[in-house]
Amino acid sequence: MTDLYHIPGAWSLIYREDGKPDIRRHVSEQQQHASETDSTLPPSHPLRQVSLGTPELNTLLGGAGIPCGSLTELWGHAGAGKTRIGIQACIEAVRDGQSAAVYIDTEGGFSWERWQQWGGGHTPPDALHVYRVWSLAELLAARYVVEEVVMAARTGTVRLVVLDSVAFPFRAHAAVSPRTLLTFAAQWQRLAYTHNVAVLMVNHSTIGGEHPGRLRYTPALGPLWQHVCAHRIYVAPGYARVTQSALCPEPDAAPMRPTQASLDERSPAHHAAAATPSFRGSLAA
Amino acid sequence: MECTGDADATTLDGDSAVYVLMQAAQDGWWRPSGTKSSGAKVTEADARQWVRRRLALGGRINLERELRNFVSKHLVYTTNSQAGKALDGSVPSLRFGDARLDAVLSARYGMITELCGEAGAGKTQLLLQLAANNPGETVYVHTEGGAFPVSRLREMVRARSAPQAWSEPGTERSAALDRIYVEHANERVRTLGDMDELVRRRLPQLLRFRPEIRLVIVDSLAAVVRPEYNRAERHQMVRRAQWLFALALQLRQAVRQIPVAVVVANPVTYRYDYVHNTRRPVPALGHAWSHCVNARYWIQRESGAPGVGGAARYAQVMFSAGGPTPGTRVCFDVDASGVHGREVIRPGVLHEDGGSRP
Repeated sequence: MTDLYHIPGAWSLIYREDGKPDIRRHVSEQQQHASETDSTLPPSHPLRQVSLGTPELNTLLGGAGIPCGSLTELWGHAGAGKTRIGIQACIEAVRDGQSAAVYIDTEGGFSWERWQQWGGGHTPPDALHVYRVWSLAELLAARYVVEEVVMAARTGTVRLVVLDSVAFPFRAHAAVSPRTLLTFAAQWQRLAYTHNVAVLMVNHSTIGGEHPGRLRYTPALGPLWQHVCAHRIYVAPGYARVTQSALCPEPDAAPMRPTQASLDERSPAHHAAAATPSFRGSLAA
Repeated sequence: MECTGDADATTLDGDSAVYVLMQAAQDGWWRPSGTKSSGAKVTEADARQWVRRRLALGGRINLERELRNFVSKHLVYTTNSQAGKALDGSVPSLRFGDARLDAVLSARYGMITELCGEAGAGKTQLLLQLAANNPGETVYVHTEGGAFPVSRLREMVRARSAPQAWSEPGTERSAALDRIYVEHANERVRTLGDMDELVRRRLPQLLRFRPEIRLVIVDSLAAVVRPEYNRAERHQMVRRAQWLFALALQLRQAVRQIPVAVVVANPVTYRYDYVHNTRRPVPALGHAWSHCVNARYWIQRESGAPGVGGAARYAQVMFSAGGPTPGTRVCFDVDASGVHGREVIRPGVLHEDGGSRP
């Protein structure tokens, strides 16, 4: 097996002394100075992963949550619970008092009532930074702000950046060139890797037909966006599933993990959804 | 049209570049080169022309500096320490004036709410009730066929006002009616361009001149959009989706500075259900529009068999940002004095007849 340690940022599968396999990541000096991450830390160390709120969601990517230093995407239909998972991840990230989180809101789904409703009442002040973004230019410009916040690190190290609905400004803009999309993606990848933050992007779903007789849904933003996020999680009301990830080699065989919404009101929500004939249109088809 | 910067800088397309440059011009530290420093205000046409000319000459526009400055001045920013002061129990939404309806349905400030249902289900009744109950002012864009139901609105307002106001007809009731601005389909809003112009130009102007406006109602958006796009053609559906996203963005930008709730009524279309060999109603305007709204409520009218509690209509939460769980229902009925909620059904609640029904 080739040794990939000379490539900064590469993941390698190695075998520990006791014979168990482990995933290690080559950390450059810059990253080490920036985040004090030791490359000998196990993948489930809290400095390597950011919790998503419930233990079931955390086991989706095989560990304690989503990995730091790469982009993770949550996609799903409207009302599936993507914003909720983003807010809960922020709550978990700032809970220990030494970490900070950044939430960039594009659609207005963030409110302080929801923050308190899901257990965010006891967070230290100024641990969560919320930005409301109203257009594509502001979304592209938000990267600079986040970079400054991450480097300043006023209230602890920034562990998590949530971009709620990266899809909405791009879809609202006429004829966004592929170059814009990929430059945006590359800049966020660089930010995530350099400062070892977990970046959670929320995406929409759209119709991508493979079978003409039946609707199939794919993540929005087109085929170019497939290659941007390292890990993709499909969110539906009641469960979440990994669709693409290097940490989960066979995504179709991954079991459905219930989300917190279904833990609150378990099967009645499903029965409500199934019994109403017009609920969500053709999703049940 | 594309503006590029350095390899590390951000690439913007032309519209975004013009937007950023206009903000910088309003702040006073950017002018198109070639204009006097103490001249007239920079207009959007100037900015567009400058951008186009720079690109035509083969030049590169580096927006790095503009973006950094733009960011520091214009991004809306809070932290949770500031938010703790804001949560003083103030209700950030508009209500219907009925306790059971308010427990389930709400129109929140800064969000786009949708009421979808079949024709005659009661969407317009609920919207009129919302307008009548609004202490501030309302903008009502009426694009459905037929005249605006003024008499119905007058009945609802009369039911709300105190009885002693009846002795002086015209004072209190007309004041309530004067707070509602109506745009008619056959006069002003007929095509997509009209709707675009309404949202981009006229609505921000109106919001600036009348800062007491708290509610914008569009009844319905589909009546304007449907005749323009052919549902059978895929590329037209793609363009329609993009237009809807742009409209949602403009609506949100228009209500940026002041707390205004936007409520849209949406008719249904039908999708064939292969499993049950029947047709099922589905909200109109497609899958894209469901991503534009923050909350969606389904209004249903049971024809024939009466529903629970004797009421024949119900409103069900399909999804709602910050609202009750999906599946929560309120049964209501409509009479001369307005809409009255009869019963609230939470998902999974056990009922008297022993069944656990949604």
